[in-house]
Amino acid sequence: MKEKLMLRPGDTMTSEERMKAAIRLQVPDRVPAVPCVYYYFATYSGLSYADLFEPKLYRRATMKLFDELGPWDAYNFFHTYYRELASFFIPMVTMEPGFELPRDIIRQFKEEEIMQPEDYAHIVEMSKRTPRLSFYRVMMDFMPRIYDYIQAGWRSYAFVLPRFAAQLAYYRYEFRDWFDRGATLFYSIGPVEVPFDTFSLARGLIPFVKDLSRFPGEIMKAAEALVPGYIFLIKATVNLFGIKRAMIDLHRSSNDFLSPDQFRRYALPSLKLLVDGLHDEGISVIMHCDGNWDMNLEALRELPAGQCVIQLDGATDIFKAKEVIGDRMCIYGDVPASMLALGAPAEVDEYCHRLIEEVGRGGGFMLGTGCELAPNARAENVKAMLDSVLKYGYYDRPEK
Amino acid sequence: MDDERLVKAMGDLDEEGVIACVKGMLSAGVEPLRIVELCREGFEIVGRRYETREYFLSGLIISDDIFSNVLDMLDRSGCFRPSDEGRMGKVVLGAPLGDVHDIGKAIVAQLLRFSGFEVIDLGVNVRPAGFLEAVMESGAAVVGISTLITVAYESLRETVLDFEREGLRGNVKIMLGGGAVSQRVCDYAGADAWSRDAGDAVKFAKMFTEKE
Repeated sequence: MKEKLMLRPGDTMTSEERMKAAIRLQVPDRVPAVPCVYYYFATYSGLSYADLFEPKLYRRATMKLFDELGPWDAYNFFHTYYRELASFFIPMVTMEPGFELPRDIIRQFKEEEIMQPEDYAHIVEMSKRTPRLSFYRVMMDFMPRIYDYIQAGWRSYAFVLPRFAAQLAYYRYEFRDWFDRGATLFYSIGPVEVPFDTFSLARGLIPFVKDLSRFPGEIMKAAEALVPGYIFLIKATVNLFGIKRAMIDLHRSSNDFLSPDQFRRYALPSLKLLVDGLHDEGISVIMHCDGNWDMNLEALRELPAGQCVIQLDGATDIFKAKEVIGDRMCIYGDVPASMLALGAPAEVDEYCHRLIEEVGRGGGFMLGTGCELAPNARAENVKAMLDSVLKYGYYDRPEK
Repeated sequence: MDDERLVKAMGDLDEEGVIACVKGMLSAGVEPLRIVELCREGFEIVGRRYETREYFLSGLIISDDIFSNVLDMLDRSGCFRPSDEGRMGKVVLGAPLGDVHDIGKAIVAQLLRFSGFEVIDLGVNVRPAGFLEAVMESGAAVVGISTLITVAYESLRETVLDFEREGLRGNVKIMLGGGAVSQRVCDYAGADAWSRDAGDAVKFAKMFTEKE
């Protein structure tokens, strides 16, 4: 029988066991640490942001950071070596380092209408004909609208699918680095923007808000029609990589954009359909919830218990979140980007200590960065954050 | 009576009600500028409800849309152009060097315009000296900088320092907005105010210009 590979000397669970326990709201041996990193890999290795499109450089940079400032429990990955694949999950016009931007400027998004109001009805019709392929088909429709060099129809499939397959092969190869070091994968696929928020991104914020006030029913029907396509795609990737977790993004459902009533009435039904559907397949869901979710938290209690993780970025009161939904879902976060970029190690240590003590009480917590680790974070702050789970995170110590 | 109905409809985000009121008032010969003033009163109700979290960004966007439609109607109706933009003062807006996100700034610009400010919108990826030059040219007393990315912090700081080096810092208030700002960032940059809420930009601009 293969010996269990522990991440840290004091651990009594593997990283995968620890992650599962935290998600099931059980008490693991210690609080898991899962930073969300992309551009910081480049900063730490002295690379340009554009260099991260190069598989060898990216892989070397990830391992350098992990070996020198880590370790941490799970690989929260969201890189693609083919820029077009990022738009597959966040359908917006992007400006990338080394393409439209200088090599040392991070990716940025433009609000353009790549989706039109008539697309809602089209999505419903198309999903009736091919429900399981609906997600692919919508994205294939969007691709030529985002990139003028991708042609519509079968040519968009011919362009995207080989790159998609190659990217999956790269992932599979890279994952061995992490497993060999005792870490696990945070998820098999992610971050996939949920249907409702996909429409907000693809229509553009202002047109979408107007759509929502004029024909909310059409938006809801289209969002719900896409759910089987999402489940099909997520299941296929889970089968490929073996980790029964997926990350979904909710960039546009926070109270920064929607009222709690709008969230509950219009956004929650398709989200619930998706999470319940994945739950039926035994797949846990990590919800990447940017912005302020304070007034939406109560509504999230409708999602299945012990099945979901909510990632917060510092804009939501994470301590209140523990009170409101800590008995229903695992809380993940939320060391703020500005603290990691501008603060001092002692301050990071103190904040992480508080998170572990208060949000980590009784299990159901993962320590992480608020959204992505700031590209200009100070290395000593990152180290202080990762070390805090060793100092304060073991549940068998007296203070626990 | 019609006046109250229009203000209430605007405050309630009742687009049909607003349009019906405006049509009725135009046929009754009410001055277009009076109609704009009433819409602004309604818009202030929207702003207050936004502050008390009764309305959210989606509500602001809808009110913006209704107001734009009213201005279009008045424009089509004859010789009206809103002529009092700028009565509250001038605000220079932009996203800092390295940041090309536009949407938050665009919403703030529209809210400021509807509140009577003249907005000098420098666009995105604005170098620090660009803000200084715009203030020197326009005489604006308020600068708003919106950013979504942490790597723009240095650029924010540099912008404020430019005003200090020119000896203009005492005459100009600088406010920061967007998802990447916080009190810490405000302190680091040396700015006067910060918020993640678009509606606060109007509040700050009013506060700063009243002090003038």
